[in-house]
Amino acid sequence: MNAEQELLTPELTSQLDRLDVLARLLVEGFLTGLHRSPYHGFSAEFAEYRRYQPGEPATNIDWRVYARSDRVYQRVFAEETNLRGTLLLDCSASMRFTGDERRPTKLAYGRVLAACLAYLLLRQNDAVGLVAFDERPLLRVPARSVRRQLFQVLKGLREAPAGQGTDLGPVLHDVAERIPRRGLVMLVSDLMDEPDQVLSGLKHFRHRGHEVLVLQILDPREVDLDFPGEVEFSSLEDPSLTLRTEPAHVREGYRDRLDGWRARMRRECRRHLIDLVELTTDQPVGAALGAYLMKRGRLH
Amino acid sequence: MPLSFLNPALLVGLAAAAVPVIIHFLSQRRLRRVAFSDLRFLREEEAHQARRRGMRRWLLMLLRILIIACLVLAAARPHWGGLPGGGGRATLFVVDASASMQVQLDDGRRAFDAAIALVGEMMGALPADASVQAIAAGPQAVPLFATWLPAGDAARAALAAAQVTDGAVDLESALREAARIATEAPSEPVDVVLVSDLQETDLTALDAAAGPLARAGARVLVQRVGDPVPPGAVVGLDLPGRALQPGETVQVRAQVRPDRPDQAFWLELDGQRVAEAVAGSTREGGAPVEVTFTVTAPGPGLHVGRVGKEADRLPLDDTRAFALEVPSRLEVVIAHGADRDGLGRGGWRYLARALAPDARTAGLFAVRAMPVDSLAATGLDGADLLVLADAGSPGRQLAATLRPWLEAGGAAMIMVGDPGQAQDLRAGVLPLLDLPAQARWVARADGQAERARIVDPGHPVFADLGDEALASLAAARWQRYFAVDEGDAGVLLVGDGGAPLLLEGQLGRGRWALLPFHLRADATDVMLNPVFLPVVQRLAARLVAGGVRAFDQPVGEELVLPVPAGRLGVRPGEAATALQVAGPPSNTRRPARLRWQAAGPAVVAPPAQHAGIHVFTSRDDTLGLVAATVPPAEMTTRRLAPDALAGALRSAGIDQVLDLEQASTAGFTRALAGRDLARWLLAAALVLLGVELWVGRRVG
Repeated sequence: MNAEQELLTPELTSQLDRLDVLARLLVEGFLTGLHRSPYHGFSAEFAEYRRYQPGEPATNIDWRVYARSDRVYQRVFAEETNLRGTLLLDCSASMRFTGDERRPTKLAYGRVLAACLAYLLLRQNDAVGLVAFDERPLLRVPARSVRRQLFQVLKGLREAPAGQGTDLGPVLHDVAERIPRRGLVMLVSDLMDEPDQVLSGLKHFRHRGHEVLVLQILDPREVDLDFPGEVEFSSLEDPSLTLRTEPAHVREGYRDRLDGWRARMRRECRRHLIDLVELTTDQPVGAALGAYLMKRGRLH
Repeated sequence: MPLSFLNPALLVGLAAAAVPVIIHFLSQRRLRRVAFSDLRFLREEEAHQARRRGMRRWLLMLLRILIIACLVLAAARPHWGGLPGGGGRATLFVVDASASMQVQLDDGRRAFDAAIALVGEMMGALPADASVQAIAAGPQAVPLFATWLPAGDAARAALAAAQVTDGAVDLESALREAARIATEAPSEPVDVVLVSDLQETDLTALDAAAGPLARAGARVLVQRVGDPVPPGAVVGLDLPGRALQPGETVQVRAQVRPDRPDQAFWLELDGQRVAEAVAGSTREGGAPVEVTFTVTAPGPGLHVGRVGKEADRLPLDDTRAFALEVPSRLEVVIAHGADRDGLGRGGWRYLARALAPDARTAGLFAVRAMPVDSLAATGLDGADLLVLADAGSPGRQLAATLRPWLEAGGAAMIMVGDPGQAQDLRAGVLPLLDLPAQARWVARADGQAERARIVDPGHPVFADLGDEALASLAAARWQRYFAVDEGDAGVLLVGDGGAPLLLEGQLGRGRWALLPFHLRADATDVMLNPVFLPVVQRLAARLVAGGVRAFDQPVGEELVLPVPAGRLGVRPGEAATALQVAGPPSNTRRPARLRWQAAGPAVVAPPAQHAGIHVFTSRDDTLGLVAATVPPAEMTTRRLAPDALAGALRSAGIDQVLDLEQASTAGFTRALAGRDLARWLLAAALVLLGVELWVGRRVG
């Protein structure tokens, strides 16, 4: 079984095949593709019919369809441009957590998610690259749009080592400095680090003109802390750190703190026009990705 | 220990209280280790509430231990107080049925009726499977049920048979009977509930009575009921201690306890109020005072009377009945020695004249005089009094045969004053009278004659004669007499030299008097003293009557009426038939029997239960009257403290003695079973559970 087959199941592929990947961002590029571009007239491709709503310009009404069906439809076009996508996969120790053996670790989940994104991007002839990191970059696959790039990305995803600690801020700053052209930065991470540092790194991408998509992956048990009895927790990133407690007793406060943290991340991302998608490992990858892309499609 | 358990075996369940502790430590051993992504929020939260939660966890564990302990203890049915292991499964009620229980309470009931009602309520409060028995404790302890009964309506209905008596409670016999009945109880232990007004009584003899009860394993509960006896009462009565002559004026003294100063007491005779007297003042401590009634003796026959006052809350002791028998004629036989010088012997003629001064009128005495030799032929049948005057040797022989007659109720006045009869006195008369056989002849010169002194002016022989008359007796002189040793006899007159001049005594049922001088001028001039005649008459009446024929016996004792054998027509040893006694409360006739005893025959009836006049009858005759009276012990106004009786019972060996503080059913059941703590423990468990849930939620 090759790397592509290991990560992308036919079930997942078929789910994604029915969706149009519509990039939200307008980036400069040379290649035309499926993505709408702010540069009108360069290239346009029919995308779909849509029922005409009163008040809309009548420019795009397809009169032939109207003659045949006596219904008013307008043609929707999407202008295409090339997208340079960079997948940032967090391989820190915290990503190795799973609260249930029947569920993948956050890292495994993130690998699948990254592979899906790479597949989608390459299918649109966009360029895609990969950076795996923990406290520092561990692996780099430069962004390219060739067909073989999928293999490279998937290989990188498979071979990316499980890292140790997390130091998202410096890593993001480092990666931001190394991406030469504006594009789409897709961070797959649990964001388990100091929020200020994480946001600082993300803002760096924005500063460089990148569109940023953050896919935050959490395990359901990280969210609800549903552990019975008394538990001795040890930190995956620093095994010397332990904590003995009864989750039932701290659950409420823990959730409050977690929710506060997540709310802050949402708020800050929204403020800096960073898309944040919160995922848990018990959600099907394809469904989660599709839901996100559908939402982007409706927005743009 | 006041805490006891009905199901103590369930206390082993207290070990379950260790379950929370075990769970606590087991949960620590089953500690789960989880490698977690980020401890940041956990550590923040843990730091925030670690201390508070630690305390709450220990509090929770404590609460759970307490909840389990409360539930287990409740299941074991704890009781605070009461008898060990509960009580009331076999309960024996001893109800005081003495006279003092007839005190009327504020609600109009008698204390005894209230006690019976209370016992009924107590029976109703007993467990359904309890067995009960009851004793009415008067002078005798009478079981009210034939056997132990279930504590139901039947037992309560059977209580109606309980009767109060006019006698004193015999606590010892009641406890003995209780011990006997306790051995027949269907289950153990037996709880004896003593329901009484607890009048003061002597508790020193309780040890022996309580012993069998203690050995039977009985527990005793003391329930005081009723009110103290009110002070007013007629405590005692002193009738003239001699046979009365019809029409004679006599004084009757009564010991009374008035309710208030200057309270009037009255005396009834044959239904007529014949005298009144006022008790001047009450005495400290309720001691009786004496009142005197002046009464004219009624005609011959049996008479009944009462001394009383206005009724208080215990009318029973406000009157006191007495019976009086006034003889119609006393037959006196004077047996004298041979006359000497035609002057008679010993002064028997003076005696005859003294007793029957006028033969033509019927007095109290009918005198027959004869030489002592003739007495053997005529015998003493029908004679009430035998007077031996200087009887000499024949008299000595007669004395040898006189004892049975005397012991059977005869009366003898013996006069010996002839120095020639000293041996007859020593060998015949003195042994007959159980006196030391010593006699010394004393002869004084004319100028050395002795005077006599009355030893007890209140003696029935001298009473009512008046001080002046008695003082005149002191003028009489004695020159010649026998000095005898009085032994156990009573001395009425004593000479200057210390020798008794008039003695009296009792032999069996009979009485005798000894005059160690004779009525001759060379011996004494007492015959010239005007007071001597009534003294002789009274002495004769006293001897004949055997005291007064007024029989006064406490309720609860056997009724005994001494009777002359001839009156029943039976010979010694034979039984008489158709003897009965009738008396209060409803003149119910009860069988009596004849008892032959050393002192002569007596008709005996079972103990009376009620005060009043009891009439003894044979087939066709009324034999006599006996007044049954309330025992003085039942008139005392003092009561025992319940703990005093309880202490005495404990010292007598009964371990478990409880004082039922209040006359209430609730108090009784509490004393038996104690206060049931189960519901309180359940309530506590519920409260603790609520607290546990609240604390648990706060911790969770």
